[in-house]
Amino acid sequence: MPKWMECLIVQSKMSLSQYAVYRTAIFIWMAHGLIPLVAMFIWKDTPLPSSGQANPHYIYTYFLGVFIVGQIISSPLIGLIDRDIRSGKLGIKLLLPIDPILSYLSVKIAYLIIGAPVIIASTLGLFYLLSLSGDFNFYRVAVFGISCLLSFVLQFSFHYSLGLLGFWNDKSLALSRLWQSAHFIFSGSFAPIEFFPDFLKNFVYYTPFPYTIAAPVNIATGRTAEQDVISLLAAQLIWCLIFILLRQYLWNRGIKRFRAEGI
Amino acid sequence: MKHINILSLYVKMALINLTTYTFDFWINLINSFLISLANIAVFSILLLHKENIGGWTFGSILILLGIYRILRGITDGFLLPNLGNIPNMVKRGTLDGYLLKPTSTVFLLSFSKLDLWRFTDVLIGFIILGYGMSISEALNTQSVLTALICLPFSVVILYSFWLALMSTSFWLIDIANLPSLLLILFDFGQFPSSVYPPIIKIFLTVALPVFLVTSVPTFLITNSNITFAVGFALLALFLLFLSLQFWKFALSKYTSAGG
Repeated sequence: MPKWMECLIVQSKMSLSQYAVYRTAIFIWMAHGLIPLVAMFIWKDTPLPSSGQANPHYIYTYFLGVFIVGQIISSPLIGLIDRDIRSGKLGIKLLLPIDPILSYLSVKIAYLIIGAPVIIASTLGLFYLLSLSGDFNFYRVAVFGISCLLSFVLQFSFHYSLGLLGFWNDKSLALSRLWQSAHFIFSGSFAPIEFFPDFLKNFVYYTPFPYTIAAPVNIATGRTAEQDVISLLAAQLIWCLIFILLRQYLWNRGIKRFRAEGI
Repeated sequence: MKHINILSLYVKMALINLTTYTFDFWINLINSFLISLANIAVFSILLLHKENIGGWTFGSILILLGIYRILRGITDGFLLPNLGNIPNMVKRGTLDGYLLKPTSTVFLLSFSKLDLWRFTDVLIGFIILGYGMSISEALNTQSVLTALICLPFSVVILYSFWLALMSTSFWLIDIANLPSLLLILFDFGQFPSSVYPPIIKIFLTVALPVFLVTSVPTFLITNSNITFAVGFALLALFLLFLSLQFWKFALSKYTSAGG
């Protein structure tokens, strides 16, 4: 096992025991993801653009998928990094002989483990709904898994980058709210992208937003045709690389500005 | 008179604070604007595909969104920093400082911290409300009067509810997470109550007054129903009376620091 992996496991265990105390707070934090399930009610008898007929089952699976992916990729990262930078706690993390990214990743892993019952139950529910309409197969589940992983990396890198803006000013939280508002609409959490007017639909696919939520959901629910799956995953991968590089760049530039004093 | 003096001092302090948070104010204003725009866009997209949403026209949806935004701004800037802080004060025992002051405790607890830079939602909300009223052809003296009655009393209902709920912290002690849960449930109010299944509708009208302060006023405004608006105001005053009584009762159970 590589050394970073061992460090990550140990760190995750530490974060888990630390955050298990705040499990109620974590569940309430997860309740933020309920809004897509509310949106489900307003969309359920809307005629689909493709067939002109309403299909509640199609809408249920879509928004359940949005809920699941939303839970997997959301993270408390921005506030955490911003706070560490401004309070100087980052200094302690820099003294350790491992990259601080492992410590932040471990927090997200702890959140995932604590929220796992909800995520697993809703994923099983989604697969059950899909199997009812015969849209379920293991190939799709596997690709869904890969796509979720890419979404996770994408969102993690971007949130990390937003948090790192704390090196330059103390308003990164205010700025990140803007990103999250845009994300909420353009990722397809609130309205399935296929319902968007044409000009918006074409524009949205040039932004990173749909590759965080709509992409894995469309793969899982079979909206993406099999021959398009590879190109969708490739697009996700490209955005991942862009944001990984952005994070690295901001980290290298920002860390030079960092000064911590005290203990 | 004393209360008005104190209140004007608090407002003055809040204005001074606002100058420190000008950047937050502008970012919040842009954000409120973008979120509202996006919300309206989603409803317009929805209306491209069907005639109405749960029986509601675009105009009444805008009125609903306007009311929701206004109340959201008031919750964030007024209820949350004041009443939302009560559980923490009970837990730490800092409430004692307020009890010792020679003015009504509940007054001090309600107004001492106003985050004016969070009131951007209120500004945007009024614009949406006005526009919604004008396109739903509900812009006449009667409906404006109904709106003027409903809005303040919606705030009164929200306030009473928050006060009653925060009063339970004297028994439950650890409810610091409750305010954020309330905010999430309040988000449900930005859609017409008629789209929800009956069970959620009843729960969010009676148990938590989310639809009571969003969908109900919208309905009254679109129908310019002044009689019911007056009834709504009386209900609000009654709820305020109940929650103040409950607060007094709860406060008598307070055993100071170490609780």
